[in-house]
Amino acid sequence: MHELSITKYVVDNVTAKANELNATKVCKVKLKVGRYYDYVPEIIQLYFDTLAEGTVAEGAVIVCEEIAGKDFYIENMEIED
Amino acid sequence: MGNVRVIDVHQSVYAVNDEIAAKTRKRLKEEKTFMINLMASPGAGKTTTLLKTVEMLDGRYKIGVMEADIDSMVDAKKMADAGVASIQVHTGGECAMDAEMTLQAIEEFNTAQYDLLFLENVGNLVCPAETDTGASKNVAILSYPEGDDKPLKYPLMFQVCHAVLINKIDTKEYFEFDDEAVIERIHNRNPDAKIFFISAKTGEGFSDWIQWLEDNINEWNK
Repeated sequence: MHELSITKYVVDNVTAKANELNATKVCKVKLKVGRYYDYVPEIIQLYFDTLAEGTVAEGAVIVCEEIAGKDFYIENMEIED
Repeated sequence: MGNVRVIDVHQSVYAVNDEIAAKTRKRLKEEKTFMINLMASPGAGKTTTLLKTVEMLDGRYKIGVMEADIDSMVDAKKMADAGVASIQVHTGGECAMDAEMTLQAIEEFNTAQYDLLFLENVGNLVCPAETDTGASKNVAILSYPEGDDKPLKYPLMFQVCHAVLINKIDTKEYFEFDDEAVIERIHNRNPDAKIFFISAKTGEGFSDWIQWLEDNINEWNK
């Protein structure tokens, strides 16, 4: 369940960025996930699907790449104009 | 179908949180309020340790307690019954306090009036370790019944802590808890962590913990 708050941050940041760029859709979001947190990618996707409902990011695919250490950030996102 | 493009974001998910936390820390320092983020699993003795700590500080500081739970008023009521100023914070399903929620509680509770402020975080060894609340120092409690292997299983918690209280040492004869092993496991992750063996029930071992608290309060107010 500890994926909930970080997924909220992801949805907030991704939708803000997409709206700023006037995107019509977010197709994919790539995350770099520090091994330290033991986040489960499937759970992040599950929360994302719910939290992003009704936003420009609805239906986006989350790709998690595991990295060493404590870092956790949004690497990039694929948007449709 | 529109044009698809990849946008580089390179934004830390914790960036917003860490920014708020840093501001909170600065504010607390200006207001001379020393804040401890107290973390532990459910039942480790957070509330009992707080009550004993307040008792041992014997009125030398004005103390406030922010009780964070997913729901209920149980802990705030215990504090109120003991005459300790407290506020109950509900995280609304979140498994830990983040910097924004903590800041809201600080404002609501008007914490500038306190010298020493405790945030009793949600009982959990995972989520609270991941999020900076803006506290001056992080303290974790681990109790004998939980076992000496917890620093191996929940490394982040023991890595982010400035001090670890090993609680319930009055139950030593009932549990196979290896003191030396737990010290080594914590220090492997975090060589600077101060470790205190205490019993919140009897008060044993509290003098060193109280001394650490007072030293850190003095340091904070310099």
